[in-house]
Amino acid sequence: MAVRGVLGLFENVDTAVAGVDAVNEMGFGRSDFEVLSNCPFPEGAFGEEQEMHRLGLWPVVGAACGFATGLLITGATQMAYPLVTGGKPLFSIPPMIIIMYEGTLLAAVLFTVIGVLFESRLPRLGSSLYDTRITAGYIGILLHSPEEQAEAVAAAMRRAGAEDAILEPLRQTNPGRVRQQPQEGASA
Amino acid sequence: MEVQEIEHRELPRLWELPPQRVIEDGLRRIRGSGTVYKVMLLISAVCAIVGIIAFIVGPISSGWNDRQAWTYVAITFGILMCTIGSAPCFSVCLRMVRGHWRRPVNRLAEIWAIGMIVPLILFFFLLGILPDTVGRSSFWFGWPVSPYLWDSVMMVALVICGYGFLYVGALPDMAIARDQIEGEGGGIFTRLSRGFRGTLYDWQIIDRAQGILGAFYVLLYVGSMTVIAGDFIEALVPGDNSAIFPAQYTIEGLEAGIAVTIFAMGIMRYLGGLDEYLEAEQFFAAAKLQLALGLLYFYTHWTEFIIWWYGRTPREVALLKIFYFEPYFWLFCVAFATMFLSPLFILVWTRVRMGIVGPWVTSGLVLVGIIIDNIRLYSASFSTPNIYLQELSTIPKAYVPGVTDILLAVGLLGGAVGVCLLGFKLVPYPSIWEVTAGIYLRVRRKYLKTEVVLIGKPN
Amino acid sequence: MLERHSHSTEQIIEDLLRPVTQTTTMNWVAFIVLGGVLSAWVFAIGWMFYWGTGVLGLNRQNIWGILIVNFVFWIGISHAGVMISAILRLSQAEWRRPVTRAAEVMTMFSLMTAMTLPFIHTGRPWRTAYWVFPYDFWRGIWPDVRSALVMDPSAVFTYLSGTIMFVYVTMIPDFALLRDRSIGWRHALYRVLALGFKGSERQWKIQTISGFILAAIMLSIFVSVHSIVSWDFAFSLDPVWHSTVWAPYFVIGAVHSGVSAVVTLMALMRWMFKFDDYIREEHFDAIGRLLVVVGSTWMWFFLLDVFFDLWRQDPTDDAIMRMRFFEWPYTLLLGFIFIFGYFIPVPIWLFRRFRRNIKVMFWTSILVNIGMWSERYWLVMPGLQRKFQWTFDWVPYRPGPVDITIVLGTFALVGFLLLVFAKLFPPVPVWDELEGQRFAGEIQVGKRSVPAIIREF
Repeated sequence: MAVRGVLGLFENVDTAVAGVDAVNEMGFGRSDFEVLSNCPFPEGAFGEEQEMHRLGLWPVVGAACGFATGLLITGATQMAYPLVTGGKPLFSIPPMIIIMYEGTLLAAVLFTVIGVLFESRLPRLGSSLYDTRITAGYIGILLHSPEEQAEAVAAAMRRAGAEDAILEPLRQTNPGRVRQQPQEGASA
Repeated sequence: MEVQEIEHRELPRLWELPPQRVIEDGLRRIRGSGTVYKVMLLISAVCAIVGIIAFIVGPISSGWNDRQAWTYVAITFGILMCTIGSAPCFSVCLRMVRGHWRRPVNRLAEIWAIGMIVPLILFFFLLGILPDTVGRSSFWFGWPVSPYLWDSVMMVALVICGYGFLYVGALPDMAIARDQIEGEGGGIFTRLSRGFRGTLYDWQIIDRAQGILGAFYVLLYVGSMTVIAGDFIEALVPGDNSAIFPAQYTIEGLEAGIAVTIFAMGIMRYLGGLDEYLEAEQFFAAAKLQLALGLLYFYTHWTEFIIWWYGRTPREVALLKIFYFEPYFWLFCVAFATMFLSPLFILVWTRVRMGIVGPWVTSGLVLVGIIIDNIRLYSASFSTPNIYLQELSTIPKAYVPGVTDILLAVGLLGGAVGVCLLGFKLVPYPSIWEVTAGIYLRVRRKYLKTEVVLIGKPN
Repeated sequence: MLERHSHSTEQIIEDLLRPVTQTTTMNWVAFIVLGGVLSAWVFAIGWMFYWGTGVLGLNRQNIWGILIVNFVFWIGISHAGVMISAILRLSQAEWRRPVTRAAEVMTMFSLMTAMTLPFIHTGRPWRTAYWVFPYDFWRGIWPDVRSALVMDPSAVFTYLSGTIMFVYVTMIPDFALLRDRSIGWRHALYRVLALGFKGSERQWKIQTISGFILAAIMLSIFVSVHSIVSWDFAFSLDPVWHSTVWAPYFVIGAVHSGVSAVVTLMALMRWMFKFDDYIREEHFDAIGRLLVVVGSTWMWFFLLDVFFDLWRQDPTDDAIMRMRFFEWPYTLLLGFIFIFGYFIPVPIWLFRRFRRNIKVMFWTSILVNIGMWSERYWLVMPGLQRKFQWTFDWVPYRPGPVDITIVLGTFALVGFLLLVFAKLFPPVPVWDELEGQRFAGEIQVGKRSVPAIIREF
């Protein structure tokens, strides 16, 4: 099935909401399009549905990895070179705690940042439908619609008040996702 | 693409209440008392009587020469200073950050100041066992009548400031009580409200006075806890010159002050019928501060421990033993678990903080912890035989309390709670004027396809 | 915040990108002056590498001098970023918006500057690197984790890495903005940095949540960093160094000096980049109130340190304290600490009229940092000067011209790096300001229109 991106550009929030309504009326659900803006809106401003993310898990995993690494480095270092300094035990736990603490937090930050990029679907390496007017304050509604409906979607957005509606060149969906229609006469 | 419904938390109902309802709820406890209140008051009265008798039979009859006999008087004093003494500081902090969620909570933190008369009385008795500064460690540099005069000045100023802070904050509500309560019940409020009429000038005075008294209260509390930590604990343990200890003790106190407020919030919500005022919003925000103070508790203990651990001089090793690892090891473990580990592992989860049970249970655990920690500290400091040595040569055995000690502590603590309960007959709760002001400053409004709350920031 | 002027989106973007798009005469003057001082800095370091650390004022027991004092000072300044950014993000204070990035970037550059000092102070940094890298397999000698001097790099490195990542993540939307408005090498640079950010709801949601998570983690790091720096001194048995209060004392001192440095930076940004509509009097008012609390807490810890140094009436401690109070130059420095660090600025900040006066806030913040630099010297050097028991070893420490040039150079380095940053990236977060405008509203209470903020539940 051919899919085509449509990006409607709206100058203000009122026309953007009208655009959302117009797209909904054409049978597209909230999860079928994304709203692009140059700064956040209150959650749910353009509709209720919200994608799930697991960002909260990344720092936890990172912290666990950092903790283990810190334990390994501090523990193994002390055991590899057993030197009594200042009367402290060969395996000194309080100083280990300090370095393990730093390691835990460093790894938590690192994993969180990786998580941010992952959950934000960045870096976006391929080309994607976008317009620089979005960072200038326009609100974009980006919809991937079936090819046959793309023109109609663009027209509906323009009627709703979009200053511009940009159509993406044709592209195919992932062949693995296309359901094969059974050929006539073929066995089940 | 997976989607889920946005879980909007239910918007707090508090800010939808009509102002007249707030007045009725605020004056309810003054107009009459429920059974639960009367029972609690009765229990407190019995505790107070038992505590006073145990006090006379125990420490008073032992005299001021036996410092160890006064251990549990000091512990009770310490617990009260850490809990009801520090709760008004929590209120000051909340006023400084100017969040609206604090409006039903402030009065509950300030009202504990009414009970400060109890630790003040205990303090004056404890002065008798305090040695003067000649020949021992102290930070008084031989000032005249030290430490008695200066410690007393701090404590008296603190208590007076606490009463003043509470009174100034409650004055507008006392005026409401004066005008709304008929008959003799309203008579006392005529005197207390001092002709407050709610003019712009009146409100400006209240605002200014709260700011000044609140700031002074915090300064005096910090100063008082510093001198108490120094004179009643550190000075009595030979070789103890831990500069962080006064800060450690103050921070423990602040943590317990928040805990006592959150605990009271839970009681008032479930037993006091104030579920519309004390909602998840209040518990969520207060729990964040509880968690932060729990982390600071750990931090201040850790900095002391690590310096002594690295120094390893005989003096420091003895201090580690007496306070952490030998006679009071298990007390330290319990205090550590309740004051640090429980806020950390319970309140670190956002979903738990968003509820009510989690913060309330944690606050209860912290209160247990502050009791245990004060037992640890004062038992250690009151059991050293000779305070004039340069360092501890032998570690004294753990002090095991007798029946009188326990009755004294439980009794006096109960009595202090009773004094605070009496405060609810004079001070309206929740704070009518503050909650009503908050209602005017919150508006629900439609925003595109969702609903948001607008919070007014007049300052 | 709430005295904001209502500007169009385009106006806000233009104003906040002005430092990137325009280079004023003032910019050029600053570049030239700072560049000149930096050249002297590089020369002084090169001189020290060539002739050895004997060119510094160090001597037998004063093995550390103003280089380590300066190291502690810059680590302290770096605490501003987390204090302003993390704590205010977590408490959702609206007034953080124009200052978070500048504070975070100042943190980054302060940390980098601070790290140059332990690197160069041995006189042979190539040996220092060799000591650390590779983390030793071949010689069988491992860095001793029990030493605070090993914990220190781990903490500072963690803090620096965390800050760089934090700054980067929060700048991604502004990279996208710059990408869409630039050409040539700048466009290529911003395109790479923006990673294809397009401003979808999911991406904004992740931005907001990551701000909270990273702020919470950075807050935990920030407390540990200056504590570990303090333990470089406090772990030893040096009489006035070996104190249990040094960790929180250093941290609160760092916050005091760092937040004051942010005030300096705010005033300079307002003047240099004409950010009057974005860095307003209300921001100085709010930060001034914070400074009263922070400054008073710092004074409490300072007094605790002093009183407990005298607590045991130990002769060694007393001798050092006597030197600190009554001998040159420590008496002068003590005066600076009390007067510049607290007794001039804090009483001034109690008054709203002065808190809202930019010039007053600027000069008081400078005074605070003079006081705080003096405080670091006052804390560190006396302990070293009386380190050993024998009086023939008591030689005063006098910093030489090389020491002083290196120290002054660090100030120039931070200033220079900040200016370079402001030429490449907006120093005030554009998307944050736009969000602030979007989330601002009004409530009618009687005849008064009260400024309000949208709060999501």
